Amino acid sequence: MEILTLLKANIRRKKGSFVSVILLTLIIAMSVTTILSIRESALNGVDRAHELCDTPDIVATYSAHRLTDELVEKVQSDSKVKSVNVIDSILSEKAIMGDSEYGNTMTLTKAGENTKLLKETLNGVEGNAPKLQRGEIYVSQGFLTDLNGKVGQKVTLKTIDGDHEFIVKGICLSPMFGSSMIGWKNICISDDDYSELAAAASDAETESRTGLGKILEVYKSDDCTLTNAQLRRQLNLDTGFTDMAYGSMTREMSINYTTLFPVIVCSVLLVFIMLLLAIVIIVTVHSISVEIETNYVTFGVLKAQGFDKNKIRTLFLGQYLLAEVIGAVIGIALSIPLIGVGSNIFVKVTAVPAVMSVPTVMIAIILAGLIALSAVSIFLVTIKVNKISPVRAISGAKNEIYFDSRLNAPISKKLLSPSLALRQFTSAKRRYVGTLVIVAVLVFFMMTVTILANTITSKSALESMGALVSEINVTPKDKLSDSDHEKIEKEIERFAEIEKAYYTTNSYFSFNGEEMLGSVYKDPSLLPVLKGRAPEYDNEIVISTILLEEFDLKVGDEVTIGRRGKKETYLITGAVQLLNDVGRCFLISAEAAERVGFDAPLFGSYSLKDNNEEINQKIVDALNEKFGDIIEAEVSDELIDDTTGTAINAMQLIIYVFSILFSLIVVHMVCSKAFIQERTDIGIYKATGFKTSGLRRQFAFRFLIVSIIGSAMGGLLSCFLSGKMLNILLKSIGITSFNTNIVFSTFAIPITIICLSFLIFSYIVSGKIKTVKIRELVTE
Amino acid sequence: MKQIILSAKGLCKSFAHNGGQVHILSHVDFDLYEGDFTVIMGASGSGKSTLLYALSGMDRATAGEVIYNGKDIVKMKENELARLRYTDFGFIFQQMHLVSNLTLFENVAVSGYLNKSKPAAEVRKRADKLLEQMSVSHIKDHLPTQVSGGEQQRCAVARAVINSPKVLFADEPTGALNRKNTTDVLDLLTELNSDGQSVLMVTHDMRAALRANRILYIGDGKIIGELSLPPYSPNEEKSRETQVNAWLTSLEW
Repeated sequence: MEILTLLKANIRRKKGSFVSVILLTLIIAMSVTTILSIRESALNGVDRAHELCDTPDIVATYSAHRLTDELVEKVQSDSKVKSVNVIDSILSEKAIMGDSEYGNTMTLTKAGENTKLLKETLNGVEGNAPKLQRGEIYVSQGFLTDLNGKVGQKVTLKTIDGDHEFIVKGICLSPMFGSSMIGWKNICISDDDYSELAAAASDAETESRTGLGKILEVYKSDDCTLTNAQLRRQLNLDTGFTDMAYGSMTREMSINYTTLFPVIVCSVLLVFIMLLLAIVIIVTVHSISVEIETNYVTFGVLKAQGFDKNKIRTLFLGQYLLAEVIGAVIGIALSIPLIGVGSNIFVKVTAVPAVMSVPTVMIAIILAGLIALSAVSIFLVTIKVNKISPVRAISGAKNEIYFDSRLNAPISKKLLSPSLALRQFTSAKRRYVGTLVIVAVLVFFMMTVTILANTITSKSALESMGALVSEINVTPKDKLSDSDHEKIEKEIERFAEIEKAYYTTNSYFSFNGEEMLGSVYKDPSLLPVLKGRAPEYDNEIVISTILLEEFDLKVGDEVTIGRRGKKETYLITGAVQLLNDVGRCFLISAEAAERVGFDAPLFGSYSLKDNNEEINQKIVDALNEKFGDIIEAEVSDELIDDTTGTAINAMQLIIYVFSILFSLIVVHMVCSKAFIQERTDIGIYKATGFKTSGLRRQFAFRFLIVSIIGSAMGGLLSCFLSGKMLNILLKSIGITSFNTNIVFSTFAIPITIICLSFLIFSYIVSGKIKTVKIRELVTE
Repeated sequence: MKQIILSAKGLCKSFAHNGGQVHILSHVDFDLYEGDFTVIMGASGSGKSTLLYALSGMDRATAGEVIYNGKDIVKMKENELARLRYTDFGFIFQQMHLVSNLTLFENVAVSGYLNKSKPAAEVRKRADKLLEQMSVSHIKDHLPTQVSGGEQQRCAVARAVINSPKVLFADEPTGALNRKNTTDVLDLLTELNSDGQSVLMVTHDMRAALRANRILYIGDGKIIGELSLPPYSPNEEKSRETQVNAWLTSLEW
């Protein structure tokens, strides 16, 4: 009862810190619940879509003549396979919608009876798609995202029969290839259009990129215990079915690619929230520590009255845990409308509607963890209470608890306010340790997200990470000779200096029996090697670090690369970072690829020293005019697409806003405590002639000093750890060696924001100085 | 003829309490003369500290005026009052109230630094001299918590006079000190006064009151008695005490 009475009195008297802890916990609970639920909703949506469409375990796409009846029979008769399904298709190499172009593999198939259509709002499935009329198509949302298009818009598909214009009639549910993260797209066309285009495509060369194709869908038998990836490898070893394919994909791979974006965005935000969680605990510990200092006498009196240390510690536990529980409950309640609004936020990337889900167990574990961690921290920090002796407290033994340092930063007449502010900081450093850590964490995270945003928009940073970045792209109509390449380069150099000329293409090979993307480069030495050296001979390759780990390989080992039934052994000479197929990729020279019969034309990509949109367009026009019969030139797209750019900017904004919000609450709490501790000193300063405005500046200046030191710590932390943290977070997209592109603005923007926030917020909070009356110094 | 340095007319101070008003000072008229050592005495709760704070501008009177240098300090803005505190008025508190994270020297010097007209070197020199005078120069680099109450109060006196104030206000400056320290501090104030410093001190300590050449007695928020004395001399302390005691007894102290 006595604890309850004191608890109520404490909450009444310290509403500010009670409300602040509620607010901090509220933000954490709301964010955790919202982020985890949005992530879960997106993942469940993908699973649900696969169920609804009864997607196969493995899909492989072929030039029609490669998928022979014999091969289908072989796959079908394998004991691990329940059934197979062969779908006829037409291959297309380019789609144009408005100003946007799409140049990855596309298959055109007839819209089936079971084709499902999405609602216009993209938040659910409308039902079975109506039959298409001539000139109408159904596409996935990912296709529209990639082309910045919408339903009702015209799209031009390049086929063997020339350019055909279609109208997007609706968005179909395509869980296997629909995501904008997957390069392979399927487009549903009407039966009439299909017949017409198929007749034209049948005249094409058998290996044409616009010829007839076939899709093989493989369903695993019920008693097969292999994972889909293991089954694909085993089936390929037994039948060579992926060796013959353009490419193949398992359902897990598709789910992995589809959910990659939401998982990464949510992971980054969750890590940030976890750091905020640590901040809440630091703030709580600091708040209690100060409270013990300022109420030293009160606790001495309480002890003198018979309150033991456990009762006083229970008082603190009750006060802060109650605030956290209230904050958590309100946070969860507030997150419900946010989940409703945000659950479908990733549909433009995943292309499947989210299924609203709340991972209650996970949320409960995290919030219970927060409260448990808080309880342990409170228990530890309140050990101080044991040291309070009633006699010493009442006799005013303040010196033992108030000042932790005799460090005398000099007081200067010219810089009186700043030097006094510095003294206030140096004489009680321990009091600001928590704040310093908080600032460091906030700045570290703000810098990390700034580094991420800067890097993905920096050509040089992306290049150094193994990405191919160019201003001009050239698609050959047939295989080009070295002299053709020279002529093209010469033409480009009439307008601008070429920094790097890449001739490359991607194709699937078998890699120790498993289908793997190979990046074929005319000159593989153009890519930076992380370990070892670039391949120099036609029996050498370099592979991604992810493949090295996955296959337990090392530089110097040999691997077997195969294609269309032909196999050769290659020596691994080094490790590179490749971003294609989330890093499951190897780099091979065109010369080396020829040994397994690879003879496809290489695409030209030219990186120019100066990027000038006007000149780039002139180059493209000149190339098309001069070499239009052998190539098609175009200006490269932006470094990142709109969706990714928007998402990263949104992530940056969220982290910045949360950091400012946290600064506000932390400054409010810390300043309020400092104000209580220094109320007498403020009165003394006023009595000796200091003005309120000067004292406020002094107060704010101290927190500026704290924020500058904390920012420096955060900056250093970021220099050492941001790259490592991004490596962990981005490994799922193939990045194992993140190039931290740190420029002046990387430091300047976050540090300025945090320091200004601290300065402004502490100045605002210091308004309380006005309320200090000199009369308070009077002893009646 | 003594010059009036500070003058109060119709000074009132009241506080709101339980929906009503409690009058602490009620139409007090008072003149402080230059070079005087004036003491205000009175029973607990009589309003003596309130009067001191109202006269020094540390607290605002509810009504009336306090004229200093031709200006009413009751009507002064906060910035003007702040300026007055570091130029013309010095203040000593009962509980010393030194800034806890500044050394004794810095406590004195910081107040001097506020006065823009004096160079820093001059302020430091004067601070050293005052601390020497107050016999605390050997501990000038100590923090307030590391020295005794008497040493803190001597430092507080040095701080109060660093800017050579026209008036030195002292609120029970010996209230928290032992006998020895009390004597030391009173000797310091007497010495300052003998050098021409005007002092206005509130006390309920007879020994402290003996140092004054003018004693005012306050009761029920009004000045109800005044006693003039010759300048203090240690040799006449006994007879002075008898005189003051008799006067106080007549006022039912």
